[in-house]
Amino acid sequence: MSGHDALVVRGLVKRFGGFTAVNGLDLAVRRGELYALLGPNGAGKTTSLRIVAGLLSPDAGEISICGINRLRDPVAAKRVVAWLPDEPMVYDKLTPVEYLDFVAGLWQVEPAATKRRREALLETLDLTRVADQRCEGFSKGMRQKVALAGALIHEPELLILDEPLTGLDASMARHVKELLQARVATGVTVILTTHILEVAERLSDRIGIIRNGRLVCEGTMAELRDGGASQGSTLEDVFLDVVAREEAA
Amino acid sequence: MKALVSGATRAVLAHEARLSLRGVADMAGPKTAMRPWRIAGVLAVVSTIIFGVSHLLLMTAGQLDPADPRVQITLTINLAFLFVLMISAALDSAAYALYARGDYDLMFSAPLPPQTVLLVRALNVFGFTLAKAGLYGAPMLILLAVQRGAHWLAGLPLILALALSATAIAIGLAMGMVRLIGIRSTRVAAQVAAALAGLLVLVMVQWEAIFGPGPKDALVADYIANPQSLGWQLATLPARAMTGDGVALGGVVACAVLMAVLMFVGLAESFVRNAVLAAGSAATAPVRARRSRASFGASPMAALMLKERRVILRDPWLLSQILMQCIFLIPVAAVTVYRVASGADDASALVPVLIVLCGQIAGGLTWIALSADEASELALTAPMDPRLRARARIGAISWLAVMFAAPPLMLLLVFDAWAGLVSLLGVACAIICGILVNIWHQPRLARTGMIRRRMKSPISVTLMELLALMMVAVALWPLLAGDYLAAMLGALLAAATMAVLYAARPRVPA
Repeated sequence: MSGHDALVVRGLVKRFGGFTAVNGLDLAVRRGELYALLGPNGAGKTTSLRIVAGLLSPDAGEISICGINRLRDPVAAKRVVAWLPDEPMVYDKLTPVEYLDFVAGLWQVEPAATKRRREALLETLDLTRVADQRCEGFSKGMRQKVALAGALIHEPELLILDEPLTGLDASMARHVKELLQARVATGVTVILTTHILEVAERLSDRIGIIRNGRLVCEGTMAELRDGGASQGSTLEDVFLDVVAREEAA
Repeated sequence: MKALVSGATRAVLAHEARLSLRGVADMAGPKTAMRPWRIAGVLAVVSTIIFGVSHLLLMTAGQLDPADPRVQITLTINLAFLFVLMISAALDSAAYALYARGDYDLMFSAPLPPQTVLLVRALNVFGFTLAKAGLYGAPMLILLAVQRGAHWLAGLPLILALALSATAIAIGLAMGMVRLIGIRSTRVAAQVAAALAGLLVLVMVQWEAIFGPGPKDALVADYIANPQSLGWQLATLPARAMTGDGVALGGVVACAVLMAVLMFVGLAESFVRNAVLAAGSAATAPVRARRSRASFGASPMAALMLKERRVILRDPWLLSQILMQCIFLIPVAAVTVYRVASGADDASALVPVLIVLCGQIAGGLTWIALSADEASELALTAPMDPRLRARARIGAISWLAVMFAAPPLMLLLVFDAWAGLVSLLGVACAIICGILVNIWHQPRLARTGMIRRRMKSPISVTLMELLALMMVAVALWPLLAGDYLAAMLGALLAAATMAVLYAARPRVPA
């Protein structure tokens, strides 16, 4: 396992009864990289990332997060990871300020740092106006922003996002994309899943395509185009071609 | 068009029936949705227990001669209690089925008249009310028919008629409450009303045990003096129907059908109007919260505890659920005070009851906390020991259980110090056991928002919790008599039970 890798997954397997959701997944994501994990519905993207985030136990395989063995030392591994699911994890009865303080408390962020980061995140994500309102009346996009702020407040080294742009309007989606790129520029590693292929194409350093719980194709956009994966010119062409070839095989 | 509508109606009916069956399957425990034999197994165990209890009750019930005025009055009182409980259960179901299902966009966009939706929802409420009453009442009636004569079978159509009447009354009440206090408050109010009705019946059932047979004797004497008065004729109608009087049974059934028809014809329009309101009730005005000095930063455990407390105290619906869990301690406390103070009872007789009740309350509160957690995965991804998560929940929940257990415990300490001390130890153990059993066995079951769809914890977990609490009571009971060896054996048995329940827990990731 390389010292430069933020995430290394080897031979990951997860079964639910007779169904194998993740089937020997191998994956390496470098530090300071924005990695897009793509795949058709039911390919095993979310299950794999939930295992990495510590929400599921694998049946087999190894996971290393920033050099920490996730299975042997789960608490230390969780300290450097943030997980943002497609359904935002927020509490209706808490305000954004309280929610951010709560998350910071769980990750044991210093109170002074909590306050500084909280105000900055509220400002960046345009939440200052509603900072002291309970989340119960918020739209899905607003809740998504609160959850994103929660994922960022403890300054994780590895940020895992499952469909992060769902429910956001166009201007906020652009804003979030810029925010993620800015974090990557500071050395944070971002792994995201998305069905909006244009986002993956424009945003990511590398792209992995997963099918039936295995990584079937990986590389930069240029590598995917030139590596014989497809003769097409867009990520959509590459993606559909890879999925069709895998189905035929 | 007619065929289309009737087809759509059949589809809605089948859909409701499927959802209801899946609800029952969920109650039976995890992963039983597609395994009818497991549901049948749980129902068989529950039915056997109810048949056994009914048989024991009948053994002490005497001859039950239908001509005996005392029997008529006893039946009348018990049927009145049953009817109040049926209305309270139906009211809760009605408030949910009518306006909290959140599927009206689908229902009203389907090609079927809104009256059909009301009919299907009313049938749903009726089915649940009948099932609940039938589960407890039918075994008793069947045993009565086998042991005392076939005329007791008239009780079965009587329960059907009472369930129909209770459904009509409950739907009328639910719609009235929507009109008076609005959609959002109706379900909370309906649940509180249902709990208060249950509490009232519990107190009334205890009435004779506390105050003796005097009030009932007075009713019997009045009935013997004026059996043909209009008041007594109407009041004893269900009791006479139950003991095989065909005319009385016909009267009760006719009343029930009339009430159901009046409800349906009179309230269909109002139902549609309210349903339109319900569809838009999710939007709420912004609520500002004052910034508190309380800090989330002391430790992950303190952060979790503070979050739990804040979420509970700000949610009237959740608070009402918790209060309903605790409210049943009130009659126990009242009985404790009265019987011990009047010297009618030894204080130690109430210790096992208090232990089991407090443990159940703590378990119920844990179920509420787990299944009402809107972001349970957040704590799972946090860098903290899973044992700390469990301790935080115990810390956040136990203070509520302790608060409600404190008054009867203090009274016991005053009247009988040894019984009080043993109770204190037993209640502490029971609260911890109740919480732990739920933490071990609920996480996979307690899906987000599940509690808002149905309030009951799965039966399998409830049975495990009850087993653990009974073992705690078994361990503590001999201490009252000074039998330390038996107490130690009981403690070992309780510890072994908890160890087995721990080993049998579903695995969750660290």
